[in-house]
Amino acid sequence: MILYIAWLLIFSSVFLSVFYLSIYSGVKDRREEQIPEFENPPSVTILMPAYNEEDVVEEALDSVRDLEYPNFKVNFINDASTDSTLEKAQKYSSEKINILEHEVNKGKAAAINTGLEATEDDYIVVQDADSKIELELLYKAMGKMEEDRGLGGVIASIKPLSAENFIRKIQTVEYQLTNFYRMLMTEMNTLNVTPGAFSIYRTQDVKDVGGFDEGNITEDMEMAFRLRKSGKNFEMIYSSSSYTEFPSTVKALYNQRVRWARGFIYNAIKYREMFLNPKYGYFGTVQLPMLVIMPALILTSFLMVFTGIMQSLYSYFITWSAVGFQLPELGLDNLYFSLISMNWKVYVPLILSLVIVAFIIKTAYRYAGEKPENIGALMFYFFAYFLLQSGFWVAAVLKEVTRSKKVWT
Amino acid sequence: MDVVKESMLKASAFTLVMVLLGVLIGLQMDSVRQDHLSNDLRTSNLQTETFVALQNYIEDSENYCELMETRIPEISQRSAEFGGELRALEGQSLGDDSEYEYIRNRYYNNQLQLYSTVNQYKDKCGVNQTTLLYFFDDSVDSQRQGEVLNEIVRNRDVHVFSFNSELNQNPEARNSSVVEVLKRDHNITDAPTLIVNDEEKIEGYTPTGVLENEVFP
Repeated sequence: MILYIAWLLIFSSVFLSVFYLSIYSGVKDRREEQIPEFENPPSVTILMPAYNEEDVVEEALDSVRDLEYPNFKVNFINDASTDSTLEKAQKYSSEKINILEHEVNKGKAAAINTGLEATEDDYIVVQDADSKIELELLYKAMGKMEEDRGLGGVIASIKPLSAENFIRKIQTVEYQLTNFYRMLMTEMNTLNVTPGAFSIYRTQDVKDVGGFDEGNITEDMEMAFRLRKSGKNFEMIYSSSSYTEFPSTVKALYNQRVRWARGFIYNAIKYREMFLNPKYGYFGTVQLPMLVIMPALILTSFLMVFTGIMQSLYSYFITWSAVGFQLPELGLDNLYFSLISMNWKVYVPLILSLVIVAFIIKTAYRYAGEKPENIGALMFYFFAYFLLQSGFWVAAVLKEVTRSKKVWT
Repeated sequence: MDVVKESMLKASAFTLVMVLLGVLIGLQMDSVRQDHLSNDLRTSNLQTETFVALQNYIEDSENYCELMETRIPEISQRSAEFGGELRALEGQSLGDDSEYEYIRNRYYNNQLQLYSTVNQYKDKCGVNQTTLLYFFDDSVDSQRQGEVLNEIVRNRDVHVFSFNSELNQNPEARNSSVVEVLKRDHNITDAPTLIVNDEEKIEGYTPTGVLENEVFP
């Protein structure tokens, strides 16, 4: 039984890896994109919701204040922060930067909606208060939206504002791959999320679908699903980035990822009729099933590793309970015997699938024109990050089952 | 054909090749393991046959006891090691188990032959050497008993001959008549069970200390 589960896991992983590599082989180069010029630049409002962001809010407001875009304003929405976020933001209050306030904390989606109601501009950009964007990104995103009226939104590749600790370095590796996959998803027209770090929408499109879902803890994913349902597509700008603050502790990462996972579960159930539905193209028939398969693979991997460790411990316990502590026997004969007694029918496909995944990571870095900065973080991501991810998914499922309170963290 | 459909086909084809490769490697490794066991069994059988032939030839010689004393531990140890390897490798089988069944039955024949020879040597030379017939199954108690016996073999002058008593409960398995006869003769109904010096029967898991007190009072 274990053998068949292991094979299912390995071959699913091989299938997905080869599938994405094949998509990559036919992808158009998105690393060099022209910055468009506008005779009459469309108007845009940057919506910046904030809750207890005192450490980063000034940097974020500095970055938008200095944008040399001729026709924009910022709606900064303080969602009843309990720290000095509002005081710091108020120093930036100007003709361009409006500071809006919630008396009580209503959540991120409600904060974005407050900013949305206060604008009549052509476009809105949702940008978290812990993120920074580049001017050329705004131009490029606007150019794509103007060029293709069928687009519901444009997102950007995401990079860390700073990656000085190990947890952030691991996420830097993860985002390198995420950006790569999102670039491939753009090619397939299956992008499924419009991240809070930077997403641009037509104001009217968002108003037409009723604004952001205030009961949703992943309102960015929900908006993407809703716009997809209304027939809109999404694109990603790979050549310019938004910079965002990654969680710096395991606890913060846990909170963020469990929120994302719970948000996905909620949205998957809410939009279940889109799954495998050809009406929504490859988004319905390929992307949504993959979004379910991926965590299932991660959880199965975790269970396999857990089972393996438990079996080894159990076997050791049996030996220990019978004759106490024993050192393994060494020597060439034992090495040969160990080699032939290994479960090669699992190890060979497993090693090959790891090689393919390693090749994808290498390809993602090469495409970005970068090199891994921290080998330790890369190794951790490659060999052990799935254990963390599966922990996040288990926690998310348990919290959904027990209907634990959802919070914006 | 669009890029997604084409990629699906490529990924399916590649994955199918990988599945076939995995199965082929699994079968090839089965073959390597069976060859390893067959070679070891051949060596072990040859040693036992040589030993028995010599025993028959020098039965009345005054050198009989001296020769047996030097050869028995060596052959017995090799045979025990082979039993461990067989147990470890047959669980990895991917395809047809008949080759393993054949090896296992040959091994049990070898064990019985050796057991008879050791008993004969004990009678003839008046040696107070302990022999244990060990009947095991897949239970935790059998696994623990196996560890206890390994420990005892390392520290004491004792010969252990092990037999999987569970095999014959599987109607599809090719039964070893050796195990059948031994089980019937010693009325083996449970595992682990030990038969000490062809006389005393110890049923159930027996820890090292208790077993040593029973076998080497």
